[in-house]
Amino acid sequence: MIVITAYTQGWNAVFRNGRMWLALYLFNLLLALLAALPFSGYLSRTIGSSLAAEGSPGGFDYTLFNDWLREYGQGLAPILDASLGFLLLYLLLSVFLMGGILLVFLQFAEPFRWGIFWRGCPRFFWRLLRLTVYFLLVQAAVLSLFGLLFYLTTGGFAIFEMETEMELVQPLYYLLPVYLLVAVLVFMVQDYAKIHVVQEDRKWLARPLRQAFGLVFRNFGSFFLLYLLNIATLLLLFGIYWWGSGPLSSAGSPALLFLWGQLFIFGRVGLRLLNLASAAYLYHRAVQHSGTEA
Amino acid sequence: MPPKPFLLFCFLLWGCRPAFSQLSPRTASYDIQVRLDTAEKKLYGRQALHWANPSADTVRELQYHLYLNAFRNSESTFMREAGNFGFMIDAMRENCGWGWTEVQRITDGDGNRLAMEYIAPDDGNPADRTVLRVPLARPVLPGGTIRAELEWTSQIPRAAARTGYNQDYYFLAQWFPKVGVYEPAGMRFAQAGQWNCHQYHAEGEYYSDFGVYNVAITLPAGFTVGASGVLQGVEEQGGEKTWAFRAEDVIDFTWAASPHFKEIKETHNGVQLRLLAYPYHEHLAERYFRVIKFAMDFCGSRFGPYPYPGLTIVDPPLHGMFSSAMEYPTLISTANLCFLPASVRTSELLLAHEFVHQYFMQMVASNEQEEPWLDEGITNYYEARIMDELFGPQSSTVDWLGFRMGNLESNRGEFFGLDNPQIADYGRFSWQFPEGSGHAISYSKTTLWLRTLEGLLGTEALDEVMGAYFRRWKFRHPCGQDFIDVVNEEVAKKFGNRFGENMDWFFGQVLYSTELCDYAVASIANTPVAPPAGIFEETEDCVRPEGKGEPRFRASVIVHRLEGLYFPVEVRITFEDGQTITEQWDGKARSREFVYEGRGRAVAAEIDPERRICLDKNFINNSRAVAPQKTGVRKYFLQFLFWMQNAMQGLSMLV
Ligand SMILES: [Zn+2]
Repeated sequence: MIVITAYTQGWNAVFRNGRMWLALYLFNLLLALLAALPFSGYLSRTIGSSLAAEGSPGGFDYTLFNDWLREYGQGLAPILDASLGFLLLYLLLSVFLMGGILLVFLQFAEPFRWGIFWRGCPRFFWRLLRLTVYFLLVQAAVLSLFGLLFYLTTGGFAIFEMETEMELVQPLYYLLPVYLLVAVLVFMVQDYAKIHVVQEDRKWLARPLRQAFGLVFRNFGSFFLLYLLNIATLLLLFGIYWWGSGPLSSAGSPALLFLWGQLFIFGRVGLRLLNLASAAYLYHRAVQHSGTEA
Repeated sequence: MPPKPFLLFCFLLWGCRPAFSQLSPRTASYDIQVRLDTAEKKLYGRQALHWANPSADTVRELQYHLYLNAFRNSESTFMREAGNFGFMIDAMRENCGWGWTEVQRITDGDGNRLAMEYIAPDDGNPADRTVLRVPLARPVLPGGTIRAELEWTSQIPRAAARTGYNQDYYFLAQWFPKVGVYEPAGMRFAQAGQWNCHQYHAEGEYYSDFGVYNVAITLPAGFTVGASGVLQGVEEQGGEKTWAFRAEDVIDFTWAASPHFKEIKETHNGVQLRLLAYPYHEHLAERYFRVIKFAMDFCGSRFGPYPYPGLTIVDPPLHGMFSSAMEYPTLISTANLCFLPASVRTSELLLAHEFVHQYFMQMVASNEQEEPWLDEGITNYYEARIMDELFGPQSSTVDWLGFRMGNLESNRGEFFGLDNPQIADYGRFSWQFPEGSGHAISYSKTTLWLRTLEGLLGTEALDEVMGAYFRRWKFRHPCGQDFIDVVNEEVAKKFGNRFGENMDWFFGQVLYSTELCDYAVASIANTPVAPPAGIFEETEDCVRPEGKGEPRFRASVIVHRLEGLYFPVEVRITFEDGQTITEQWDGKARSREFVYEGRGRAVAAEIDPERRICLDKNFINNSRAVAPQKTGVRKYFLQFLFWMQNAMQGLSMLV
């Protein structure tokens, strides 16, 4: 079955380009470190000579958190502001790296070469940035629409008009799955649009976008199944992390918990790559089938 | 077969039973017949008040609370103050669901029709009709009694604060004309005999005399009724049912009705527990009963058994949330949203709280309008004790998805979280706390200083003190000074003058000042001490410092009192060899130095290591170590780093 092939080919591509996987993880770690280091310094200055934080090995310590936030929280604001800056920077970096990642995956059987990767990064940056902005706007519109629908179905959260609190929850039973479906579809179209932009290397986005829509429409079954498979893998990763972090947290070993967390982040980066690699494979097969014109 | 004299004795004992079982002075008792018109949302009531003059005064008037008039229009004192009830009041306002009570007729036992007028003793607000003054045709002599009969009609407000209706759910609290408390000279703050009958304010509800309530409620047959007291019987006639209740030795009577109530009953310690919940909340019964039983045992072992035959728990539906989290004699309400996880224990803490009110508010009937801390604060403190003991001190309120919060901890969070925790002392009525600070001060600050008192006296001793206070003042009306007097007596009995002549120094600080408490370890210094050198009397030659051997150190630990409050505290100093010294410090000086020579270097110091002084606003600066402490820093840094990584990775999915 083509979807399974794409999925396994995706894994193959991820492992074949393991250096890129590692590099992307390191980018994540490095930027997060840059954002978090001022926090470490601030922690040292505020609780570094106190015994208050030493006695709370596992779990969340509300009293410590509360006292700290109240007494020293003012110093946190600039750190959080800087963190937001780093998040924005990471978003831009992700756009930049996306061109390289897709160019690498579109080489298929080729062994990994940094040259291809770095060539792709700047080449597609502006186009992928525009694409990201467009799709962010679409996602925001979808979210607002469903938010509005939820608001309307609950009568504007009119709790005094409701029979039970389930009336607050019940609309979510059908709205949430439909929303998730629509959001996933938009993400899916976005992924194939990106691949198409890189593959076709066109200056303007209107045509690749139209073509990506057409491609997804024509191959909806297999594209969507692959997407579900990738999402399921991601959920599995979250489950495994959750399963392991509880005992590690209560065991009171921050170092072990951190290592477990790093494995999780590494896994998340890998699954992001898996999604792109498997989609690139499926895209390639779909284009082959339908001739040169996608 | 038992001998005949024994049987006779038993019979005599049985005959005396009513006298033994009367728990309270029964100053104000009521016989009420009320009919609920569910179409008009109106109550039609007839009531007889039997009032006994508790004083040596000749009383020439009665004063009644007409609570529902608080919801008559936007100009009542309650509505002007009702900022905290914003969304409830909005709903009432928007739907024109105003409520009122009108007394059509009042007569005394001789059949004299009595005059009446509205008064506003607190603020002179002419639009406020929550207090009715009734001059008597025949005064009530010292120790005398009067029977006053009223006919009244009430419009039930729609989803108002604490009381009202919504859809077909009715919660009738503060619903009938209720007489105030006549305070003889010397009782509480009364200089001369006076009626204590405040207007109804948005903050602070209770102050009433004890009595027996016989209440017959007539309403459509499909409704189930829960009420204070014990159900005496139900009679059906013409599509309506009359539910008769009797509540003895209580200060109020409240009832709730709905055709959707499911009734779940259990018995604990001989007390019938009756839960009235909507069908989709039935599954919560186990959680509710668990905490009620625990609280009942907890209070029973400290203050005495719960003396009433029953307790009704009302679990309001979502549209009845205006009535949630309330305490009335032998009837309490909780709140729950069934999509919340069980480890968010809002309903448990509410039930624990409202149950403790049966002791502090209902049996020890202090004046909540004038001294809210006396019932709410003590209740809140025991709520925290019950919750923390039942569910763990760091997770009793919430333990969900890694976020944990204990009940006592949350009180620290609330009080110190005020923009200005020094905004007000306790010397004000419940509606006079500025900027909505009443809750944080009356509830949370009281909890913190009671926990501090517990830290000083020990848990067992504090419970004994509180038990003594309860026993002395049950079925009476104490004021704050009465509480302080009991504490002073009991502490003197148990500890002599260990804490000074009395505990006034404590209450002067926590009740009558707005100062805060913060102790900090300012510094730890270890200075090498050179051995003696030079010419001494008993030596002929010059004594030279020896270069060998372990160097001696002068270890100095300086502690500071950064805020105004002081309490005796322990200071624990740890030395490099792992030995510790615990110093007792009276905590008064702004700075105190502890010096040790020849014990080696001091490596850490901690003030109040057991955290007995819960009022200390910052536990972080209570300790200091010479070497950097890395475990905590590392832990929180790594967590922050991990969150950042996840946030970044999450963002990259948008690309
Ligand atoms: Zn309360």
